[in-house]
Parts: sequence; C-alpha cells; structure tokens
Amino acid sequence: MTESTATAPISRDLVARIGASGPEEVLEARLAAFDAFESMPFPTESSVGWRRTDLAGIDLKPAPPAESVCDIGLPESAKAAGAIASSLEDAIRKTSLPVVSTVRTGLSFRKFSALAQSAWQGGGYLHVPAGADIADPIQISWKGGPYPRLVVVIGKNARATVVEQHDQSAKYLSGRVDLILEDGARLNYIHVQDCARESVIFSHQRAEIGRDAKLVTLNFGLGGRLARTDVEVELQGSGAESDMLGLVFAEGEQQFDYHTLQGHRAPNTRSDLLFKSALDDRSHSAYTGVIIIDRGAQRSDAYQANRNLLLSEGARADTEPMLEIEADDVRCTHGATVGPVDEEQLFYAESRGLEPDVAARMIVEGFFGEVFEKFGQPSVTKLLQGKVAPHVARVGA
Amino acid sequence: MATKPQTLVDKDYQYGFRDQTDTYSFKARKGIDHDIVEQISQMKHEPQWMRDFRHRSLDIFLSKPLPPWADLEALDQINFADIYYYMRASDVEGKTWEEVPADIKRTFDRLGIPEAERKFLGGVTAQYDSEVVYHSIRKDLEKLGVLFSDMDTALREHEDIVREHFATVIPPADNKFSALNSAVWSGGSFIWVPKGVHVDVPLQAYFRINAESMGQFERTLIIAEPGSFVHYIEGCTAPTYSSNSLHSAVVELIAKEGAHIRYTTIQNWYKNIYNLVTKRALAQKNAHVEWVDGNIGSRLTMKYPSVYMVGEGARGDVLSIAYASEGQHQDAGSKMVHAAPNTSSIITSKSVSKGGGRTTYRGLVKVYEGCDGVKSNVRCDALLMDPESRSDTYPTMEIDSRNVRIEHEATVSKVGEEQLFYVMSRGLTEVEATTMIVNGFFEPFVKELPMEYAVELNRLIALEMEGSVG
Amino acid sequence: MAEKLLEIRDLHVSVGDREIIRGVNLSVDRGSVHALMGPNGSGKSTLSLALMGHPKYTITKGDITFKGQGIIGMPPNERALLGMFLGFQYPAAVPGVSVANFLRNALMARHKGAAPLTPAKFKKLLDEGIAKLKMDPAVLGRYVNDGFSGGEKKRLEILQAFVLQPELEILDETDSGLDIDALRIIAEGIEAQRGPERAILLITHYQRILNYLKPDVVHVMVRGKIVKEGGPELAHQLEAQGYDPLIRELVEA
Repeated sequence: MTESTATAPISRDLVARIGASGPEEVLEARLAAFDAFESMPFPTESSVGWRRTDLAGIDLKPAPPAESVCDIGLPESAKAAGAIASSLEDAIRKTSLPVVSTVRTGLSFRKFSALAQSAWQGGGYLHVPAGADIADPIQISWKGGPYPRLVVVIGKNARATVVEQHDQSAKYLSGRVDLILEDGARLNYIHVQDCARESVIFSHQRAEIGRDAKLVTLNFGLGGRLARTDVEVELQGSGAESDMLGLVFAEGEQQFDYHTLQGHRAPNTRSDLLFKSALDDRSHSAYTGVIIIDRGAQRSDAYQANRNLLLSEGARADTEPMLEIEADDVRCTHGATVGPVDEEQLFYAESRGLEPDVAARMIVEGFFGEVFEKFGQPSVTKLLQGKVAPHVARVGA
Repeated sequence: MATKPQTLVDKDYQYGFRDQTDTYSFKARKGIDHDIVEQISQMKHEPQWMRDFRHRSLDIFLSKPLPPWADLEALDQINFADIYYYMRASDVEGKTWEEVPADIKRTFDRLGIPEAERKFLGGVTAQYDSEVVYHSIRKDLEKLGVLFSDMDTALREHEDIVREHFATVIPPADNKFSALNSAVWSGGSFIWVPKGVHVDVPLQAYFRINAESMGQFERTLIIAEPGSFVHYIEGCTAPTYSSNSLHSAVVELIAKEGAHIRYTTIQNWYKNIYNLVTKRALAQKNAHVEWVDGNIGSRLTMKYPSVYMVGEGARGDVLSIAYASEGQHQDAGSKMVHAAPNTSSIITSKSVSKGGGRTTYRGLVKVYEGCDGVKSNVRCDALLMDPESRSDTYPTMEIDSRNVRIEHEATVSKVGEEQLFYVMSRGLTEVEATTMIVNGFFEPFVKELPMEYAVELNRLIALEMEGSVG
Repeated sequence: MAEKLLEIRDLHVSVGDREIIRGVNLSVDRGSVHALMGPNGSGKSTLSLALMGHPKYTITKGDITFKGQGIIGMPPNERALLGMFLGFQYPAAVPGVSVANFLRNALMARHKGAAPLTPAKFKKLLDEGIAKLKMDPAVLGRYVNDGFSGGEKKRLEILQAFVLQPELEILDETDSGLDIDALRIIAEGIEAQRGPERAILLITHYQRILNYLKPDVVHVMVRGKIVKEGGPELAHQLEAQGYDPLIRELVEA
C-alpha cells in the first residue's frame, strides 16, 4: 500500500460498492485489479520506465469514479449480421458467460489502467457473431467517466473494423480495452486519442488472437499532456497474425509514452509493428517495445520498427526496442531510428521550388503516409489526416 | 614490475617490502571486510589516499544492491563470503596439473597450446615465462617514453599520474562490482603513452601474464596523451581456468585530444567463472576509442564496454562477439554517451547461443541536449543454434538533440536453411557447413584480431560446433 | 554404348502438401549436354533442388540413380562427393566466408584422405578459372555471394564448377538475368567444361543460351511432367512459338 493513494478519491471500499450490484466473479476481478493498482508503486522520476518522463506539473492522482457512457454506432450491415452492442454492465447482466470470463481473465495490469479494470462503470461491449462480415466501420465513442472499459469479441471467421474515440473534454482518463479474436477472425481496430491538451491519459489495450485470426491495430496519438499507452498482443493460436501501427504527432510540452508487446505464444505466428512519432517544440516520446517468442513458438516471424522524427531543437525521443527469443526457427528483426527531417529529401523538395517550411510539412505528411498506407483503409486515413493536418500546418512556421 | 620472482623481491626490497618477516604479512582467507582491505593495502605499502579509497569503496560495495535488471538467478549463486579476495602468487602455486578439469586439458590438446602456457592457463603456475619477447618490447617502449607496467608498480613509481587519472572514468559508486574492484583491486596494467607517440606493436597482457594481471580483481588504466596511439590486447582464446569463481575487473581508458586507443579482449574463462567487468573510456576532442571484445567463456559475463565522448569530434566503436553454450549466459553490450557535438559511434554485436546457452545484448546510446551532428549506428545479430537456446536484446536510446542520426537494427534467427543447403551441396557435412557459417558470422570480429588469435578462435568454434549439430 | 550417369524414373516431388513434380522420367548419359526447358512454374527448379537433396522437397514416389547408385535420402554433401554439382538459380550468401576459403574447404571435402592440393596448385586453378570467366581476381577475397550482383553470382557458380570438376553439372537458370556479354562469357565457360567424362543438365527458360551451347537433347517440362523431347531444333521451335501451343496441346489432351 502506498500512502499517496490514501488521499486519492478511490478506495477498495468504493470499488467494492461499485461492484456490489454485479456478479461475484466480476467483483473479485475488480478487487484484484485494485489490489494490483495499490501494489504497484506510484511513479516518480526515478522509477523504471518513468525516468525520462517529466512529471513536474502533472497530476497523476486518479479521478473519482463515474459512469462512462459508451456509444456504439452499429451500421445497418452489422445489425443485420446479428452484432450486439451494449454497455458492459448490461452485457454482464444478461449473463453471457464469455463476457464475464473476459472481464475476469486478461489479468495483466498496469499501474493506472488497472483502475479501469476495478472502478469502471457503464462500459462498452461489442460482439460480432461468427461468420459475420461487416465492411462499414463500427464507431465507438465515449462520454463522461474517467474509467472507460471496452470489451470487443469477434467471433469465428467474422470480420469487422472498429474505431474508438474518447471524450475530448476529459481531463483524466484511464481506459482498458480487451480485444478477443476467435479463430479465423479479422479485426481492424483504430484507437483515436485526441483529448484535451492538459489531460492525463492512460490506455491499456490487450488482445488475444486465436488460430489463423488477424488483428490490425492503429494507435493515433495527438492529445494529452501526458499520454501513456500499452498495447499488448498475445498471439495464442497457430497462424495468428498481428499488425500494430502507431502514429504520434507531439508538440508543446506533450509527452507520449508507448509500451508494446508482441507475444508469440504459438507456432507459425506473425507480427509486424511500425510506430512513428513526429516531435515538435519541447515534446517527448518514449517508446518501449518487446517481442517475446516463447519456447516452442517455432516458425514465428516478428518485426518491429520505431521511427522518430525530431522537428525542433527541444524535442526528445527515447526508444527501447527489446527482443526475448526462446525458439530458434524464427525470423525476428527490429529497428529504431531518431533524426531530423532528412536533408537530402528537404533539398530535393526545395530544388523543385518548394519553400523550406512547405517542404518540411510535406515530408512529415510523407512520414505518416507509410502508416496510412499499411493500414489501407481510406476512410480512416481521411479521418486521421483531418485531425493531424492543423498541427502539421504549424511545422516550420 | 618485472615478472621473474627474484627481480620482484629485489625491487620490492627497495621499497621496504619484507615478505617473510613483516608483521602485517598477508594471510589469504575467504570473505571480505575492512580488515582484509586494510591488509591488502598495507602489504602493498600504498599511500594513504589509496587506502582511504579502498575503504570508501568497500562501504559502497556493501551498501549497493545487485543491479535489478541483471540475471539475478545466476548472480544470486555468488557467495561473497566464500571467495578469496586477494592471493599472492605463492598462494596460487602449489596446485597440481591433476586438478585442472579434463575438458580443458582436452581443448589445450586440440588447440595445440604449448606446454608452458597450458600450465599457466590451467592455473597451475602463476607465471608464463616469455621474458625475452617481453623485454625486447619493453626496451622499444622505453625509448619512446611509454610507461607500461602492472598497476601496483605504477602506483609506486608514477603515483602522480595514477592519482590524477585513477577512478576518474569509473568511480567506485558506478556499480556494485566496480565498488568491489575498487576495494580489493590488485594487478592489472598501467599504460601511459606520451603526446604524439604511436606504439606500433600491440601491447599484450598475454606476454606478461602472471597471477595478478590475469587475476580476479585487476585494475587497468590506459592514458593516451594527445595525438598518440596504442593497441592493447588482453586475454587469450584458450580456456583459462581458475578455482576462484569471481572475476571483476575495472578498465579505464583516457584518450586525450586526437588520441586513438584500441582495446582488444578475448575472454575464455572456464564455465564456473562469474565475469563481471566494468570497462569505460573517456574520449576527448577528436579522440577515437575502439573496444574489440570477444566473450566465449565464463558462467555469466556482464560487460558493457563504454565510450563517453566528451570532446567534439570524438569517436567510439565497439565490435563484440558472444558465444554461449550450455549453462552460460553472456550478458554483454555497450554504452555510447554522446556529450559533445559531432561525435559518432558504431556498435556491432554478434552472438551465438547453443545447447541452452543464453546471450543478451544490453546497450545504451545517449545524446545530450545541444549535441548536434551526432551519429550512432547499432547493429546486433544473434544466431540461435537450437530450440533450447535464448537470445535477448535490450537496447536503449535516449536522444535529447535534434540534428542527429541514430540507427539501431537487430536480428535474431537460426542458421539459414538455404545457406546450409548451399554449403552442403558443395560437399561439406552438416557440422562442417555449420562451422563455416558460424565462423563467417564472427568474421568481422576475427579479422580485427592478430593472426594467432584468429586462427585459434576459428579452431575453437569448430570444436564447439562438433558437439552441436547432427 | 555411353554410360547412363543420371537416371530419373517416375519421380514425384512435393513441397508440403503440394505435388510439383508429377512423374518425371529422364536419363542423362556421360559426355552429353541436355537442356531442360519449360515455362515459369513448371517445376524445373524443384527438380534441380530435389536432385541435390534439398530437405524441403519430399520425394513421394520414384527413383533417382547416379552412377548406378540410388541417391534418394542421401544428404547433399554426399551427393556432391559422388560427383554431382548444382549451379543455383538463387545461390545463398555466406557472409564472412571468402570465396577462396569456401572453395578450399569444398576441395578438401572432396579429397578427404587423399593428398590435398598444394596452395600453389590451388592458386593456379583459381587463377585459371577467374581468367576464363573474366572475373575480377578480387572476388576471391570477397564473401561468398555477399553483396554480389546477379551476374557475379552466376559467374561464381560456374567458377565453382570449374574448380570442383564434378561429373554431373545441373545448372539452374544460369543464364537468367544476364546481359548479352555476360551470357556469352558464361556460356563459353560452360562449353569449356564439356567433355567425355562429364554431363551437363542445363535448365533454362529461354533458348538464347543454346545459341552458344548446343545441347544433344532437349526436354520440355510443363506442370511437373516432361511433355516433349527432341534435338536442338526443339529449342528453336519453342523460341519461335513460345510454350503456349504446347500447353494448349496438353490441356486438350
């Protein structure tokens, strides 16, 4: 128990009260998560993983719990296919057992997002039934409440695209997302984080991918004073695949901290990661990524790349791409780069008559372009480009 | 600093050293405390500042925890109370050839190591007599004004130079093991190269190995004055046996403006040894430091040769290989700290894990604010020979300056099936083909070694591979 | 009567679950040059790799004999020592191993037990091959296929054949991706190896190398089977008409 939480507006008793109306197993899971939160030390600037984060003027104190309203816009095609969208509370009440077990399992905790597993209220649940093929993106947006908790289950051989957006007015968010892909399922998941500039945001996304299923995630980071995102992918079935994309534009005093896990737990699994950050002003990005290939996860293929573009003198980037490999019949590669806008590219663009700032902006757009191209969904590209454009327009100005 | 026992005695007499009758005469015993540290210092007749330094360091050692990120499963096996922290040559001798493990003797045979060297490497004699070679080199060096001696002698004969530089690159508080070394150090090499002097011959610890220079807690300090060059080689490819399980050296290099130091290590300790070494270089303006570092032996090695580039235009290179077989963990890497503009670094790391062995690359590239024009390139390649082996890569990059070019790339794989088939299709057996591919994998390292080391290393890999395939 | 050096009978080869070679019969006499032609994907490369014993290719049926000895199941190095040589379409790089060192090891493997070639003789052999193939002598110090251009790789394959002096050379698309000068040099290099003691099985997509290197027999492979055999004129016919008429014929049949 750390004393700093004693003053926090959240306690074990409060969590117990919140969970009292739900089933026993869910309450237990809430309490386990709260205990995990309590057992992990409150970060200081000398804590592992926080050493390079400037915590001055940042209030990490958890917000008082409140209901998070999840609006899941099911397109007609999804309704026709039998997709279910509801609050997580409703989903649990309707005693759909897989929901409860999902809430209970995935007991992988991070300091702050563990609160989303303990103090969530309302929550969101999406189930796409086996075999459904939903082409239109399913839009999920949150209102109110600091602890959004989302569970998405994609049934066997079903296909869907989900775009999750947060309440832009939130000052403190600590969210948790569980993505369950049953065998042969395919999910494109986009996480849009464009919260207010002064907010503190935690997000923990965890995916379990079944046999021959494929998950493509795109994390878009634009908002927040401090945004820490954990993306954990567990490739659990043979033939499972994961493409993980990330795109950050940081300016001012913004700090982005991404932690990723590519967990190869079964043979014949493949993962590919590309996280890109463009950093302006005095912003800071810290990327920590690990590829784990378990003993026995033979014929795994894993790739991880973190690219950082420093646009300003005061911008900083840290990167820690890690590998833990315990099987020999694998191909595993990672790469990381940090640098300014390439002088050759700049010169080339300028030689065609572009002003230096215009050229720099073009190069930043190109830098992001690779991520969009990999994701390959024009509607998503348009949405994100629209969001990032006003910020890119300031580059070099 | 001569290596013949007689000369040792003669010389030491001059400084009031009386081996037999001294009331403080050292008695080797296990364990570490202030009393042992005091005895070591008194016996060596050290100046007060060094004695204080040792005691201070011991306090740091005793209070510092093991690094939390380390292979604690292995480190926790070290029983610090069950180790001799200081032994004189006379304590080392008296062991017999029979005590040397059979597998080491076999490797000596197959590598064709000369008899005299075998006894030394097996820890049976404290000295390997290569006086002739050594003295001719010494003469040349003297003409150039180069100082080359063991560290204890340097402290007696060149106290001012030692005091000015000693522990300035690696303070005792750097880590638990540098603190331990600082408390109980003995032996090691001291080299001072005058301004503008280019030492053409590599200086090899191998030529002057004795109980202390190859000992447990050696302390090496190399100072290259502006515009000078020196290449130092330590260790050898043949397996080195010691009944003592802890080896913890500190090596400090200081390359002044425009100087160039190359430091080559080949480590092949017997598989009972914990080899926990701190190596760091300071590179001033336009200086260049190269670490060429090979780790083949030991139970656990933790070693991250570093270069702190504090002057504009400084350069740091690390080229390292690691080989881990059953029961071994090679935890090696490098730190490159760019604290001045236009500095550049290259890290090339290659590792092979076999038979359940584990290799870890651990690295840091740090660029301080305001250091424009920094370039750093890190390349790590790991080969896994079987499903039981393991490879980890933990690089960290902390970049606080914009106009820099920082690149890191790492791969982990097994010996390529297509490669193996191609080589075998030319008539080589699977073992021969694998050996050839692994030797090729290490070639960028091997080609930086003097010929005799290169040949021996290739042969050693062949011996290791024979046990591994098929 | 000429000695049958290589004999393939009703060979079926699979990769994973997929059968690629579906009943090939082929025999090559000592002293002869055979061309095996066929469109892309017909199984020519599979056949060459299966002949050399690549572990990925499973022989599900049939028989291969070399010098009268069954070689199925034999590791690739033993096939090499028996006198077989494969010039790879895509030779693997062996970083850190120089061409000279590679060839020395390959020769040593071949002469196990016998008196090894003296360094001077070895050097002479290499120099001769280098000159014949108009290669840069610096190639000997470079790492095997590491950073080689397509043409350099092909020349190195032929240089190896020259040094190792096999009895059967299987050359898999050694002519592909070469400009006209390189093609001529390589073809001449192969031609120089022609002799009564040796057979060459030249696998090619195009006829153009056959302008320099006249085959005794031409086999055409389509979809894992030999569908036509003839003399050099068959190659010319294919050059003029392409593989389409043959494929159509096959489909209709």
